[in-house]
Amino acid sequence: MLRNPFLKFFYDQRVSLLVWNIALVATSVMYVGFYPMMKDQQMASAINSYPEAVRDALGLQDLASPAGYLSGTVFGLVVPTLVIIFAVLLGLKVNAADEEAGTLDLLMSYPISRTSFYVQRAAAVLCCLLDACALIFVAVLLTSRVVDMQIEVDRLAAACLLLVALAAVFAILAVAVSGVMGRRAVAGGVAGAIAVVAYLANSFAPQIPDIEGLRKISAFYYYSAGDPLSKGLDLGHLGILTAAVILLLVAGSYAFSRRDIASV
Amino acid sequence: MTSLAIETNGLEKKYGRRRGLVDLNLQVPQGTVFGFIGPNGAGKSTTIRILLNLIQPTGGTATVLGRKLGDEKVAVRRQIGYLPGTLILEGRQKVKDLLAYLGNLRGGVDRRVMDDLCDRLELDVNASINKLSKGNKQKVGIVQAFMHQPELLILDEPTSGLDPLLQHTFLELVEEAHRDGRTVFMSSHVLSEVQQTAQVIGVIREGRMVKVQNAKEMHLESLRRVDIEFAESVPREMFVKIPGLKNLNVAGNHVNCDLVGSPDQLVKVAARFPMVSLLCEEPDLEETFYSYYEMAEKNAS
Ligand SMILES: Nc1ncnc2c1ncn2[C@@H]1O[C@H](COP(=O)(O)OP(=O)(O)O)[C@@H](O)[C@H]1O
Ligand SMILES: [Mg+2]
Repeated sequence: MLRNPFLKFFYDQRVSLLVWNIALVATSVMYVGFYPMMKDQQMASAINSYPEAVRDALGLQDLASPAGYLSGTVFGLVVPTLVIIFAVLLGLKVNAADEEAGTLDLLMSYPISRTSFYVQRAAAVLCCLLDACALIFVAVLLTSRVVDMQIEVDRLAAACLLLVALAAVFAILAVAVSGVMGRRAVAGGVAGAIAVVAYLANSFAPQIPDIEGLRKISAFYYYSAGDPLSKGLDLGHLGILTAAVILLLVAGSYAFSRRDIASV
Repeated sequence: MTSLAIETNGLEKKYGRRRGLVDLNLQVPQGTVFGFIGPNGAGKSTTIRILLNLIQPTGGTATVLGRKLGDEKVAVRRQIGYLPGTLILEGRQKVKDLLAYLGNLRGGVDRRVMDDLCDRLELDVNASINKLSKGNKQKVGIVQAFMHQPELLILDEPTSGLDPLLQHTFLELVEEAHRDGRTVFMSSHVLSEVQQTAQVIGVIREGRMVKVQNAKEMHLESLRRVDIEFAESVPREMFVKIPGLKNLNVAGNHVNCDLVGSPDQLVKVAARFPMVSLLCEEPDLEETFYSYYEMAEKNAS
């Protein structure tokens, strides 16, 4: 755990990782656990009485089917929101947190290139996201068996993978902004604001004919438009999210390796 | 000709519109202990952070261990031990874990050297970094700077926060490094702190080198504030003649003044009268500098 910046990241973040993983698993289990009630139609009919536009925006169609239920709940808004918050907070730990605290000065005097340091820590962030979503996958799968919810393993895996990619975009967005300027408020603010705008663009743009196409610049579009829980993985969508992550990482690393490290 | 561990030519750093460094020319021969002194805000940390590639100069060039700034950065840093001016250490980790990690970033260091340093500085390696006092954190900083026995030590205000006993241990470490032929570049805003160990002292003021001198000569010129109380009134005329006295004030049986250079004449004159007390202290560097320049200008005209 003390060998390199990649492994040390997990060691440094151990407590926060534990807490977040528990919270994410608990939330997912709780949602899937409510499925039998939803199937009873009572709540479903309540939601079905919402105007269609609202249901569409919130991703709440067809709540009685397992795929519809999961994409409206676990993979709808709350869990992605939590995962993205987790992702952005982790992203701020790549260099901005250390830079603001003043602990980066010493590390950057060590015989490791800035690019290597930055990319190793960013890779650790991505592994943390992969790990969290793998746990969500297992939690949803096991709970679905308990409540007798028919869901195909590969479809669930596809949804989880897209969730990793979605969260990775916002995590690495925060990392890239930190690469340009090592301030948590700036990096977190930019990543958070863009996440909100991206969500709104994907949810509400389709309902306004003139700007319908706008959703295609939203990461949320590539996350949900392919309907992974019923149709499986859309490799194109996964590819676009992955490309965005790589692009942001390269840009951030370029900036980070050339600029002044802040002193306190 | 001895080779230079550090050389800068017209180094300049602007922080936006604020001055960091202006045309800084510095030469640190290999194997010397170089005391880099100047008042707060003079640009010591700025210089050091440029040499370590932590910040980019806005002008000029520099060479560290024979390589231009920016060339083979990782290889150069491998041979440098750095102690930051404001050392910040954080985290729920033990001292030994942090040192092990830092050692690994250097590709592993000799355990015996590390343990020996911790022993000599009386550093508790099982303590948690979060709970360390400022002085103890400074010890961790010193250990990590020396633990790989680097060719060049760059120490920014190394003795700040250390108690006198540990300052002594630290100075021993510097002397040992010197004996092994390593170069030590250490900054301070207190002249006396580097005077004992450094062979060469460079003075920086407002972003420029104003003087580089053999440390022993520097000692003669250093300024002292002197305050003498006599048992009886003393004649002013006797004191006015003494060379190197400034701001002389003789009031009855009380004499105070600033002394530049040797105390020899002052002591000999004062010894003719019965003395009650004698106080001699080092003023802060900012005052020392002003007196240097005032004296220099007077002598020139
Ligand atoms: N990051 C920075 N941004 C703006 N000004 C700075 C910064 N760092 C240093 N300075 C300014 O540069 C000058 C030199 O500072 P510094 O090198 O820290 O001095 P020293 O280490 O000798 O006390 C000071 O006037 C300081 O205010
Ligand atoms: Mg300083």
